[in-house]
Amino acid sequence: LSETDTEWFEDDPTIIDNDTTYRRLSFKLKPAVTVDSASGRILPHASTLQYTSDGLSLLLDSELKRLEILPTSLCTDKQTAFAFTVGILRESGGRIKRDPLLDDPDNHGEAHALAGTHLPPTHRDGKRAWTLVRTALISAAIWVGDPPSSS
Amino acid sequence: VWEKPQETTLTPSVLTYRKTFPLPDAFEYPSTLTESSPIIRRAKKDLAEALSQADAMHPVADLEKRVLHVLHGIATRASVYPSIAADDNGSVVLHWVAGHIAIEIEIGPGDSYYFAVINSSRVVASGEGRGDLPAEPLRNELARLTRYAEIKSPDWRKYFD
Repeated sequence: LSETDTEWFEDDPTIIDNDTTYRRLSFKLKPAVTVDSASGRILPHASTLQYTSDGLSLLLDSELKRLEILPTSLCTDKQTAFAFTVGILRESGGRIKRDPLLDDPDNHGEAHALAGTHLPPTHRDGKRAWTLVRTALISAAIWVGDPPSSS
Repeated sequence: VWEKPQETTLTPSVLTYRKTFPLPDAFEYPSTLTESSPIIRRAKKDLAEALSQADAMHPVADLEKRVLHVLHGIATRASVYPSIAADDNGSVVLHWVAGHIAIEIEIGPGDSYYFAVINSSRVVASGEGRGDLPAEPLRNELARLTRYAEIKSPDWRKYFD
């Protein structure tokens, strides 16, 4: 398997640009956030969108709807979530594929998807390509519940 | 020791970018930070909190030392504060955002680092390696980001309270 060919991470065209994805963010004390010093907006911290060898774990809105799961149920006292569209992900060079988890304890498993780029994280330019995706997702992110506080 | 660039990549677009965002006139460096400077005190507190939340896989004292070393090398008393968090890979990530400008610095296990400066959806500087980070590009980009924040929000410090 070549590191740069499409086999590494093939984009799934059946997931439409207008679909929304949710990134869950679990925490012990408070979620990791970054303050936009030019506007005061509270953004997801870069560390919440780490590129792992599987890709970035997400939930698809279209599938949650089918499962009749409300996005607000993703927010608890130990977890929050933020949303962005698949279109934003693709525009910045990201790809998305379905990755249903059949033994998921919280019943969201069927909505599970993975995001990545054309390069795996281990590739020489992998982190750089991901940085562009991550930056786009951070600035487009919308909090599902109330935005966490900065301090 | 600080001025030892390792595998730094400066993209061609960085030249255009630097013309668009010239350094502030009164650019103060090398660092005049002390242990009591707000940016250092905040970093220590945020770092302690971040590491208490993470399942730290390597010595915390070493990470703190490296993060503070980076800040002493690139920040001044005027600099915007970083937002600090630990990730699942055992790295500490320093993150700055001011509008369309962002800086990420990952201080990882085994003396590794990664940094990237993003401006308007372009990576204008990035690097990856071990040991000391290249201070010059980061110092300059943090000064530019700070300048932008000061123009947009002269009282940006209130956002961090």
